[in-house]
Amino acid sequence: MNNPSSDQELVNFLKQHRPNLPEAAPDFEQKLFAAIDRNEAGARKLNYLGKSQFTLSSKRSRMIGFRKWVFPSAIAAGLLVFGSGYRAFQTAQLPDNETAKLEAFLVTNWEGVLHDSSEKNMTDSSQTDWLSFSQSADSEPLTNN
Amino acid sequence: MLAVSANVLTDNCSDSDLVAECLKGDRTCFRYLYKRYQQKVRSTLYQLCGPSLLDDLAQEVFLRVWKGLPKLKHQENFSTWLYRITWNVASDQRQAFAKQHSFDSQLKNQEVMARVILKDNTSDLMQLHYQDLVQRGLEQLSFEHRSVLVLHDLEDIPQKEVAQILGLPAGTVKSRVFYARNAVRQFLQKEGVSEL
Repeated sequence: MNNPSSDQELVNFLKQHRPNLPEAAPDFEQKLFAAIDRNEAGARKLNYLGKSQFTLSSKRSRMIGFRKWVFPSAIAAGLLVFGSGYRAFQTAQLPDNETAKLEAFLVTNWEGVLHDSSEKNMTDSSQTDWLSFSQSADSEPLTNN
Repeated sequence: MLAVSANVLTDNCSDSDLVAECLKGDRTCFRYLYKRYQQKVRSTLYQLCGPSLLDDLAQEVFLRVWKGLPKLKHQENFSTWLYRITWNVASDQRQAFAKQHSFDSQLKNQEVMARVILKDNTSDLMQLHYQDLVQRGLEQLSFEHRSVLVLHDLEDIPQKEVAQILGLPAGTVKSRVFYARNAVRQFLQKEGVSEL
């Protein structure tokens, strides 16, 4: 490890013999502040939000404009899509008399189906014999003897 | 609240006071900040990137500073932030140099260097020789090692602040300073500088 005095000697040498800094152009300061003015003017021109924001770059003001309009629009569109989808899945509300008619129709229809099937069972019991057999077999008590 | 008149600007104004005035749109205070730091910024850029494009790079730094002032959260850390921007600009320029490094840029560097040397009539030959050695000694370092050596040893910025500027752990800065000093020392000794 180098000793601190050796390091200090090196640092002093570097400082003493570092190349001379070239002078800035005589109009450098003027050019710099002119560039700042141009930048400010450009920022004001693009700052169409009407807020007194300090030194906005054109890129930044565009970004703010983008955020201001795009995100609320996206949220509104999302809500609209959600709402319309929800409505599409909702069942239509019928008037009471229509509902009653529909219920009556369903009951009649269902009873008709049941009636038909019971008649069919009576005429063609062979298909359900196995069922009655198993039922009668089940009904007998099981004995181990 | 501090009232900094456009006509009464003194060295007593802290950086954060001046920044606060700048944020109110006071261009005079920014001019004062510029005068306070322009030499340090130019010097750092010069050590990191050489003489070519120095004015352009310095202008880029102060433009970025002006544009970035509203985003500066800790106004008391203005100088650290300024050095950070300076380093970023230098780093960007180094990358651009690396991409389009050509004979032209080398030639331009040499021309500017020659102008600097010719301008400085008071310098004796030995001084010029040593300046050339220091320049070459710095150039042979990697950009990372040169950055810590320039900021810490030539610009007198404490290691802790250098770590903040470069976004590195303090230990890394310390080890880079150690390495960079050794490398430059060896280079200078090899070139015949016996006083180190």
